[in-house]
Amino acid sequence: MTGATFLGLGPLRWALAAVAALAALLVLDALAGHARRRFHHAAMWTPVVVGGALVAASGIAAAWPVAAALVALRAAGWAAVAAGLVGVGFHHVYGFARRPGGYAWARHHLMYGAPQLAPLGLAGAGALGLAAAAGLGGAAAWLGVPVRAALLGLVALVLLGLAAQTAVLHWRGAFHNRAMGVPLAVAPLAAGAAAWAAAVPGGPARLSALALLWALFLLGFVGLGFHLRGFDRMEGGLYLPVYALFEGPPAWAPALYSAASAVGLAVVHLT
Amino acid sequence: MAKVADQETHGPVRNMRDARRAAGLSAPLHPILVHFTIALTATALAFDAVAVGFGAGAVRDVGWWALVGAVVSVPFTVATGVASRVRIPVAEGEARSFLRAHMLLGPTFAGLLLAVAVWRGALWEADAGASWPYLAALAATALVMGAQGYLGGELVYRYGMEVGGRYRRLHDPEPGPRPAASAAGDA
Repeated sequence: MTGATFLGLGPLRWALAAVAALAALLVLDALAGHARRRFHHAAMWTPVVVGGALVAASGIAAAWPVAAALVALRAAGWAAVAAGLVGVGFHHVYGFARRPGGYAWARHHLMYGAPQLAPLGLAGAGALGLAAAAGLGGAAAWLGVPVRAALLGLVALVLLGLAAQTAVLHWRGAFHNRAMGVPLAVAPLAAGAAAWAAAVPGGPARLSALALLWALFLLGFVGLGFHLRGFDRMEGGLYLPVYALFEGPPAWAPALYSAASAVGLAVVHLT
Repeated sequence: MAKVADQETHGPVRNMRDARRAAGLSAPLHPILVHFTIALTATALAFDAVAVGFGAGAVRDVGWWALVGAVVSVPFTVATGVASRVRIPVAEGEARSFLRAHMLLGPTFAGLLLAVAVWRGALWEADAGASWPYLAALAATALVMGAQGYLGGELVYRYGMEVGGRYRRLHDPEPGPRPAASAAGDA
């Protein structure tokens, strides 16, 4: 797998750098969310440890893609996939089904219980790392799918998952600001464009993926500004930073869109 | 006034903030760093405009390196801005509305700057120099920066944020009654 280099690094290495950023944001998100529940279950440390390992392995492999770094990345990637999938079960059982009211209070638990799709973000980041490691190792395909298509397909899935989780949380916020609807419009479009570019390299598919992924990349930063502003609108505002972090809009969530888009933007340049 | 007296007598140094104060470095960092971001971005726009408009090949790379400097300075600018925000007491009202708009535009500008820097980097790597579409994008980014800088200026010069009462007073050779403070932060 090759492609035009940017500042001396090829697309796969840039994609891995973006995977490291994505994993770092997920770790921060898990830290805040699990600290809010005081890490009452030992398993709540898993995404911090596994995600931290994925951050380190992706970052090192992006900088020095030697064989040992790729082996470490594969190990961290599979661990992240496993932790993410098991985490979905944990979030569902302990953060939804076994909470008072159970399924009868489904809408309440969906909004105020453990975020049901959040662990899949870690699984997605792990899978992206694995596909990139396959490409850097010289393989043309990962799990039988061409590396470029696999990476873009995974980006599309991650974006759809993020959009679904955003829909729930912005619904909880009663869409009190019209801008809260924007990611729900742009993210699925960008996911569709990424999926299209996965199937059809070049031409309008590539152009639409570039345009929409760049739009989503920028939208993530705008969202960071909105969430920061949202902290200040909380009772106590930024004078109670820990309270705002736990109870306010998720601090780094919009940046997940930017990081996932950055992975896609790098991969689109693969040939 | 107790705080000012403490600053002047350099009380016990217990942490980095005390050490900074004892060394005479009590000024907030955000208003210092914003000038680097603003100046470097404006420099990049000016030199790229000269290079494209007048075909001045000699200054073609200045825009790229100035933009690199702006990208390096912007995370520190944003981080110190958040630190300043946590420190400043601002009641609900007009000033806080300005502040919230400033907080919204900050990360937005950072994202735009990063995007145009990637574009400029690709042009630099291709040894192509800036183009008109790139210049238009950088000008739009500079407009957002201008709005952000205007809001920041309002916060400092109209509302006195992080200005009043934060610095050691200059030596007054003839002690006497001072004029009444007008800025909100002097209270």
